[in-house]
Amino acid sequence: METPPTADGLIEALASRFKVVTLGGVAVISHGLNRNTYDADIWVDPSGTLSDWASRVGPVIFTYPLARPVRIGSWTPFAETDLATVIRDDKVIRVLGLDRPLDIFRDPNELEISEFDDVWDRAAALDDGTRVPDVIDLLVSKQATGRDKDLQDIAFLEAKAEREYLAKLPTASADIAAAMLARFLTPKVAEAGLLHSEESVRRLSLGYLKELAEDGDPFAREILEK
Amino acid sequence: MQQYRPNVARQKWLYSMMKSRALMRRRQGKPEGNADIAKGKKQILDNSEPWLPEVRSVADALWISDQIRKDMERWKLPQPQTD
Repeated sequence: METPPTADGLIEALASRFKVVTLGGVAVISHGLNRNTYDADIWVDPSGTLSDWASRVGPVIFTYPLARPVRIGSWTPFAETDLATVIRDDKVIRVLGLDRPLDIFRDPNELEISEFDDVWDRAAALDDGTRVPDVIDLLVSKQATGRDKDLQDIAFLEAKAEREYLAKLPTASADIAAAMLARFLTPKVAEAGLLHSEESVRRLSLGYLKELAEDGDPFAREILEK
Repeated sequence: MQQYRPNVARQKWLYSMMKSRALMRRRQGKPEGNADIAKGKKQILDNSEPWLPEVRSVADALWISDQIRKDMERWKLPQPQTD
């Protein structure tokens, strides 16, 4: 019996032709959080103009068996010739008709199109050709959504990133430590930086800790009061 | 490059919860930290493992999601908001 067309099948078809980064629930589950997800979210290499993107990506989506692309929100189907306009206006399209909805982004929340190659380079490769963003890029994508449903993901990802930082930062060189602190900062991470062997890292960490305290972070204030 | 920092309002909420837990434990005559560690008792190892040791594809991640959804339906648990 033939396998019915699936969202992950379409993702694999896209990943065989373009760089595809997973986002949302699929990416968070790939990082180890056990939860369910109603749909799948992916970011397809946004390079080139809108019409280039639509002419490359459109044929793969619109010829995939049973795939039915619709506009987000209104859930109205649209023609392949309108893909560039729809993706310009909505930044995302939803594909229905498969085993679950698939959201395909060109310009996702909080991540810039110009950042795609950096996100791709930092991401972990999976066997199906897709990549999972590193924990900090995934956090950035969820940073300002303002949705309660993202809080569990944020708590899980912050804890994971913090564990990784607390393990790596103490023995990192001054340059690497500074680069790490430029990407991710919590009071505990800054506190760990205060114990670094390099004076420049200790100074940088103290400055960050003061900034966090000035922003109102109570954990940072408590560390400074010690 | 953007620097990720935890949301300050959430940090205040977490801090408040931490202080409330510490107050409750003091009122119960318990140490603020783990009571067993304070007594020198050996801790049970963390046994919370991901469903698959390593997700190797989108299909793996969706399989995990589907198993959780099926179990929640079987136990008639309310479905959380999902994306």
